[in-house]
Amino acid sequence: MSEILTLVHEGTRTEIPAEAGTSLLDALIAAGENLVSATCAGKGRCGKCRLRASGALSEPSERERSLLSAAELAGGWRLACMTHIEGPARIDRPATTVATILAEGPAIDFTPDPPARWLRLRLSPPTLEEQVSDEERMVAALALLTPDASASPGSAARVSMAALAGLAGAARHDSVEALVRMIPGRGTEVLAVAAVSTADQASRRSLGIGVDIGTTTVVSYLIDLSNGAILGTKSGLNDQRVFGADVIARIQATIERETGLEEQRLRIVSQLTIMAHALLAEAQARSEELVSMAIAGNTTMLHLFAGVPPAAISTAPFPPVFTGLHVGLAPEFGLDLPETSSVFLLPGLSGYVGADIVSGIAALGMAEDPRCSLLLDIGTNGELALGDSGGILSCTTAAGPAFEGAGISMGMGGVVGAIDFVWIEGSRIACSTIGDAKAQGLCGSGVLDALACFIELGLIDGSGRILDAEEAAALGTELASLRQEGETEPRLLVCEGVWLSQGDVRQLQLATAAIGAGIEILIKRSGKSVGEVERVFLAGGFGSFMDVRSAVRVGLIPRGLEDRVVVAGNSSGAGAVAACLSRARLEACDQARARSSYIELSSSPEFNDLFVEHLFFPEQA
Amino acid sequence: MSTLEDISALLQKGKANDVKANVEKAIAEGLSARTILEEGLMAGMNIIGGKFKRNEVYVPEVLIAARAMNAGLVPLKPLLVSSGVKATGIVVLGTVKGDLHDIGKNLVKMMMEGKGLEVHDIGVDATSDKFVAAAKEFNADVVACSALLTTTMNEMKSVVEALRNAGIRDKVTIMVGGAPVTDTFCKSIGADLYSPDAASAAEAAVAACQKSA
Ligand code: B12
Ligand code: FES
Repeated sequence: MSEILTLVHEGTRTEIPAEAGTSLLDALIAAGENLVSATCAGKGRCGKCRLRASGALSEPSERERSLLSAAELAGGWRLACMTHIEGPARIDRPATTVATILAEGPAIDFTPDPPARWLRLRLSPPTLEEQVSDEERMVAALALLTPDASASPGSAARVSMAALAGLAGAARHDSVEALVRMIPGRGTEVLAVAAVSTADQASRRSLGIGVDIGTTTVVSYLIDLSNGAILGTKSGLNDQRVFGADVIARIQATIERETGLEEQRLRIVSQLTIMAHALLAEAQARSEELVSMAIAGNTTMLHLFAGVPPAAISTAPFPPVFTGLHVGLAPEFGLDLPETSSVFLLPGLSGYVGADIVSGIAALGMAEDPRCSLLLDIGTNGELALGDSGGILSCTTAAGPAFEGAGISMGMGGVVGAIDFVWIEGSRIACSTIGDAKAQGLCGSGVLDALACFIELGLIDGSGRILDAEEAAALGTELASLRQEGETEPRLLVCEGVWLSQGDVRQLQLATAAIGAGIEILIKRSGKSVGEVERVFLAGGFGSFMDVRSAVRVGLIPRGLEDRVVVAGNSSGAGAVAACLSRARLEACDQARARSSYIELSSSPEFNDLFVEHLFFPEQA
Repeated sequence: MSTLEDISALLQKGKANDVKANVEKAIAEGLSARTILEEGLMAGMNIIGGKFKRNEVYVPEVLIAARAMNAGLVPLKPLLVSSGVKATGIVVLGTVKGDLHDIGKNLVKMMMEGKGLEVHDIGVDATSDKFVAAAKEFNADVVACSALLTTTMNEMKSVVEALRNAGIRDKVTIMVGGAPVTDTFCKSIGADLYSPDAASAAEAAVAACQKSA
């Protein structure tokens, strides 16, 4: 039977119909709402889908009673995934908080030479003597302008039907504007033709959008393809997050929900469409000025975007359906954008080293540089690449979401009230919060700092154990006062009301060991030593915000590399921008892919031993 | 300290060679193989297990303690066999199909061995048929499945079904575990026991074997 679920937010009410018996989470998903993040994909384990709800609802389940305190339950807090609708009910929407999301990519420096762009072509006038079609006159004009693209025999430009229709009206003038696509190795195509803009109209610009679809965050950059200027940026949390926080959960949703793939595809397609329209509107662009959209992202995200079932990626041996470069037009992907806008799905390497890493390698020029560099993208999945112009080795190591603040007792995203930095002042511990607000928890960089500080202060020993009360007392009363006996285990106070528990430290040990061991394997397998690594590129949100010294202190990054760190920001997004802007960079993605090889850690005999070694924190410097 | 207490203390510290030397010493002192096993080696592993459960020690400490236990078992094994000391129970343990995570499974194995269980590890990516075949071959009391991926968890259900189809469902206790597994999930697939960590898993397995004995 259908019931009404009312969402109340700052005085406004939204009513959504919901079947009795469904969970609040499913009802929200069905209504297209993104109120909560279902970090454990609705398994009742993470407690991140909490919200305040009242009305005819199921009794709090066992899971809810263990994850929510008695006070929270009394205050109406529930887990959306565990609470079922029994009749009319309401949800109080939390006040919106803006996530601090990384939208800055590294500056890239090269000459624009976009693979898709509007070109003005001067046509030879038609004459009675020479009976030549408009199409032939246009192709000839194009060949003059782009000698390299049409040099090889048989590579005369192909002209689409839509372009012919446009040509009919435009070719009576001596010049036309043609939307031309030149992809290395795929010849030249004319996708649209229009009359030259009139005198009172600015001539058509060529604009591109570079997109990075992250599991957590989606970023779009609007680029002026004539000069490489970034005209605008839009970013937001991935709208698929209600299906779970990590790629496995998203894949699982495609397996368990009949429409899971289509629902997720629609969400990302509409999110990208909305971002694109907002960017174009702000840049006062005419829609046909958008000529290309290059998309980077991990392999699962690209499968979901393309509507290709990713199921196999989730179980050994993890085969993806595709990893190569795919070129198409906006409507083929369901994007509500000009029919003639090209879409480039950038190439990846394997199920877990995707186009995000490959485009990062290309954007940073790693595969063309004789200097050895290490690229670290630390998220739920740590993706690592190491190498130089001689070749690149990459691997993925499942760190888990600890550094995104998930699975940590006081962990939270990078929102207002999260402790983002922690440091030692004398023998005290000090911290800052996002928005200078009252501290409510720790985001990834805060978790890392807190861990490093407590190790440095000696409150956590090399094996990851929090000292017992007696041992702590020996460190002096000030430090000893940071140690508290929690309900089931000891914990260390970062500031009043915010702590790191013994269990949290264990989770962080798993995450650092997975990455630390992954780096060591890459260095070993490439026959290099730590000293030979000349640059360390830190990509992604966490890499850009984290304190490198803390990362070294806990063993996430090998000691000796701290001075070689370059914050690469959103290198995946930068690679996508570069691909819109330059044929050479688009080709570099393919080359980076060709020069890279992948190490599967699940089957590396040495991984387990290294992993266990890395569970220990390094000795003091 | 008695030699037995030494064995337990050294095992907890992971001193493999010293544990072995002290087991030899205890044998020379005329202690029975069963006493050395239960009051020396197993006592030490028990303490490690308790600390692990409370998060006071972690994976590496358990691994080195288990290594020390194995070193101590070298001189003891022949005596255990000749004096007819039987395992507390027989366990078939593996990581399910599609899943290659084995660190947690290995800890479970060590803790179970530390409780005197005979564990047959069928490795990772093990199909339900493999579980069934091993359960029959070794006449197992317990079939224990590990899974670390939310997508491979469902394979555990196939193991339960395969055991049922093979007609040995009621002869074995089915245990499930791994980070994403919960008690609710265990019940929903018709398995018997869930434990959140390796030490509790070993205790539960011993209890299950005693009940069925
Ligand atoms: C180490 C690790 C790896 C190593 C595995 C090495 C190995 N040979 O085992 C490597 C790097 C190879 C790896 C690979 C992958 N991993 Co991984 N991995 C981890 C990590 C960091 C730690 C797991 C671990 O060893 N924990 C320590 C042990 C001691 O704990 P445990 O396994 O939970 O076991 C304890 C209990 O659960 C219990 N127990 C275990 N088994 C059993 C059995 C029974 C019967 C009982 C009663 C109890 C029991 O006792 C144990 C001890 O107390 C986790 C993240 C995390 N924080 O947990 C991710 C994680 C499990 N991996 C994950 C993923 C996605 C993968 C990959 C698919 C993708 C990738 N990124 O590479 C691959 C595929 C591998 C495959 N198909 O199996 C995800 C799973 C997400 C999900 N939703 O399911 C996790 C959670 C990380 C994440 N959030 O992204 N991984
Ligand atoms: S507890 Fe509900 S999604 Fe994790």
